[in-house]
Amino acid sequence: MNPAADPPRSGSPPPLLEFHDVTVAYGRRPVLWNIDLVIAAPCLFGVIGPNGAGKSTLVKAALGLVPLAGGSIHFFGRPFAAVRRRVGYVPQRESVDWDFPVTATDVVLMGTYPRLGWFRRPGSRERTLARECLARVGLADVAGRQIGRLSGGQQQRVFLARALAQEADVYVLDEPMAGVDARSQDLIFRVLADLRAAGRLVVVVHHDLRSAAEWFDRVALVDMRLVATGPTADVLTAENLQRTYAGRLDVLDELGRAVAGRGRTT
Amino acid sequence: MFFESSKTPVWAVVATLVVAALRPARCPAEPALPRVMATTSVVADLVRQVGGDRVVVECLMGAGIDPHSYRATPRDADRLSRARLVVASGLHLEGKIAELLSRLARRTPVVAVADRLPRERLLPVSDELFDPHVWFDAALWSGCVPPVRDALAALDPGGADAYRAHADAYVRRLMTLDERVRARLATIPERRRVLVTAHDAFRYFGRAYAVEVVGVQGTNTESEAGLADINRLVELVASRGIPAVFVETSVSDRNVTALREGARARGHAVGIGGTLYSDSLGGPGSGAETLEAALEANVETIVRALAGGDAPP
Amino acid sequence: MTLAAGVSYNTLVVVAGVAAVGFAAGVVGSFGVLRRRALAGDAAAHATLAGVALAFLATGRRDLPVLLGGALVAAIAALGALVLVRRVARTRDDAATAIVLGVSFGLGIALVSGITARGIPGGAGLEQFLLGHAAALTAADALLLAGASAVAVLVVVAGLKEATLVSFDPAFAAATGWPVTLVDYALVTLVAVMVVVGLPAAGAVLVTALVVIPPVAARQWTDRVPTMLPLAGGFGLASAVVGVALSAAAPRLATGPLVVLVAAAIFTASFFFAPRRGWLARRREQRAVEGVWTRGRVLAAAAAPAGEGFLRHEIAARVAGVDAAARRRFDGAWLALVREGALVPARPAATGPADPAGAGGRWRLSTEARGRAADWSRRMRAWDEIVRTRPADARTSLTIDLPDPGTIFRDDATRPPH
Repeated sequence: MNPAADPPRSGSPPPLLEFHDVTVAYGRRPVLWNIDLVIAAPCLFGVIGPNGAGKSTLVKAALGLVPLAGGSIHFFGRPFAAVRRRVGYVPQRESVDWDFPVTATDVVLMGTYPRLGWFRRPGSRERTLARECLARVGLADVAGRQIGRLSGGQQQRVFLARALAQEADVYVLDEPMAGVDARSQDLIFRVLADLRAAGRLVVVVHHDLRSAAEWFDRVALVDMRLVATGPTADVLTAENLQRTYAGRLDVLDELGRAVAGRGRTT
Repeated sequence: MFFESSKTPVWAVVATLVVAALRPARCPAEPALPRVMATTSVVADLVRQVGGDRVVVECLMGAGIDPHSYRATPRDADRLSRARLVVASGLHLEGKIAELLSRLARRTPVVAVADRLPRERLLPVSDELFDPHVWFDAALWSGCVPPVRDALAALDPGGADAYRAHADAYVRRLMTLDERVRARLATIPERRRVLVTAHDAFRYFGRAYAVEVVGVQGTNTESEAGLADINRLVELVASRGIPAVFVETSVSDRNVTALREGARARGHAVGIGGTLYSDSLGGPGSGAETLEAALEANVETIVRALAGGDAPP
Repeated sequence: MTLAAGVSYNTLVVVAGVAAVGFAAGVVGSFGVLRRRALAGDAAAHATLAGVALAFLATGRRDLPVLLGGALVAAIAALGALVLVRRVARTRDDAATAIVLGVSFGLGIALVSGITARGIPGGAGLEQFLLGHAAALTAADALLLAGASAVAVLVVVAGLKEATLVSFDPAFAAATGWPVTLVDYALVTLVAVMVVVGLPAAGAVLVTALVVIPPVAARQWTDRVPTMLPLAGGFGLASAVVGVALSAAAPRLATGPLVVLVAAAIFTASFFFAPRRGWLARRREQRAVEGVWTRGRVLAAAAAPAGEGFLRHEIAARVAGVDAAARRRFDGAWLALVREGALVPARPAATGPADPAGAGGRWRLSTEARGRAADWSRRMRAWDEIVRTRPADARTSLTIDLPDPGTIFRDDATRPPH
């Protein structure tokens, strides 16, 4: 499997997201090593790998949340800071204070703040947008509820709605399915699929191989280095998985069943 | 304790001993005069008047220091313990060093002069406490002379006669001063003879010389003036047409400033009559280094401010 | 002089100054509380004493703007020191705060004592900054305090969305391009300003209470920031006005501590009586929840035996066992069911009107209650199954009133659309 770029780019628009020789270290220990990854076209893209492989770090580096020890990352051929407005981010859920006095609507409105700029208040346009985004994720009836009183799946959908409210071209989600019930997972994946159908790139850091095999068009298999990238079925082979998840046989068993069940479509 | 520390290097110990040995010995030309420590400047003046040049008097709290809130430093404790006699004012004036003084009293003679006054001549503040500001009633303060005389005589029997002579002369001067002050203050019309000060330090003064006294803070500067107190005083000053209020050298004048503003809002201009010596005498060069001088200065300030027709600026 | 006779000028001045400070302290302090940084404000407050003393020593002036200027410098320096100690000395938050607070306060006390001990002219009265001197505020002072308070409130209101965003989700704020550190420092500076402005009202030791207590009380009543801020301001203002009024009503009552005590009373009332988060409300809800559950269990237990009916103690044994607290809950549930007519005597008028059914008599479920009991049992069994086979789903969707699983889950497994 060729770990380098996807199908060769044509001469026209720059790739949506490109990692070039990216290395990230926490203190003195590298977490990501010489990552080269290009995503040229809109798709539902999964970042897969074992725990501690650096999946989260990969997307955080793309968003400027952790510094790069080496290499560069470009969205639409430009640095992230220049195109912030076009990238929507759904972070991992733990960093939030659930007791904070904000409702679901308040949180979704925060997605509109970058467009408003300093000192301007959200107006009717923003509020209508927020309402729509909440409806798209199925939370219209709990719009006024304080976020601590929502279930885990509902909380995650609020943050997804916030990203939708950013009206971005690229969406980056970090472990959005962690601790979420099946119904909410289903709904979230449908929303993401809709986004892809509307021409957006959706990058998802994901931990569950079975649903990854079912949902993503393309994946990157990461374990401090880029093991493989490309269409899902090409990447999630027994051989690649053996190299990456060596010793975690139960995972392989599950995956074997899932891949076999799905069949190869290409 | 120096030698108990296991970390003290030997060389430091030796060096200290060497340095100590090399210090010039004091030549015993004449026996040193006995050192007496007084707490407040008022008490220091009293001891000097009675002791004359037979004693060296040092004062713990200098001019402008508030004895109600004064906290002793280790250096103070050291100086007090090295004195042959300690004289304090008493009646809890030196509230924050009371424990230090009582511990001291086990080894050094400590005399609290106001404590020796007969209780029926004192003004109570509560069930157990008396107002300690006895010195501005000259006649009452003369009752504090005998304890000092006796303590000095016990310390230095050879000077007993001199002390008695000084004491008698001083008492006579105080009584004369007492009459003079009363006469001087009587020149203020009774209606205007009201003394409003930062804290209640002049009750004895008021009782002795027929002056109505009102303090913003209580007898103890540690208590904070409340809004009700300031309102009450504004009412008093404005309704009685009092032309001047007084600040004190050792007490904050913030309350007095608020008082003046309140009175001005009621259309009554109240000036600052001047600065009074209350808990301490004046420093060197102030003209009020002794109690007599300070009392006379206070009286002049009061008379000038209240007796005249206009309010001072 | 009481307020009944008309409010005096001094009272008006003090009320105006302290009320402005109280309102602003509530508004600005809300963000300190929401971001769990209340203690930093306390460190800044304790440092102000040293700032006041140093300003006096440096300039020899005692007017309030000069002294408060020194206090502000000291407060900001303390907050800077806090950051340094945390980062450079790698100390945890609480230890770093204790260090900065202790050192700066010790320095302040030493300076003020030294000044009063040496009888430096004008030095008397610096100690008033320890507990405040609200009663002695002049009109100029009150104007300064009100002006600074107004500016602080305006800044918070103008940047409300930025402050809320950065306080709630700094990672998202950073990712969407907001200068998180800048907003952070601005909020921290505002707290320092409020602490300084509050010094004349409550003093260095108590001003933290003004900045912390009203927001915490306000939080109990609302779940939204735009409501919490004016409510906190209102509580602060009410504390100030009532505290001043109490101080004006009786002699020798210092204003600062009274204001803080009123704020504490408001907080205590909020803690007990707030509608959803209050202690009473939560206890009531807890009792209600227990009641629903226990009643359901009684119904389910009573649905089983048929025929002659059942004895009360049989049901009690099955539902509550021997646990005393469980027995109490059972008694309450039983009584409620009897009152609403779900439980009726198996043979009416068995022992007479004074003792319907009585302890020895037999009971049965009413017809309507039988339906409820059957429904409860069904849902109970359904949830048993879900908890066993799909614990993650149970964890997220099960609530104690046993909602119908059919309305929450679909039976077909999740399937992607392509």
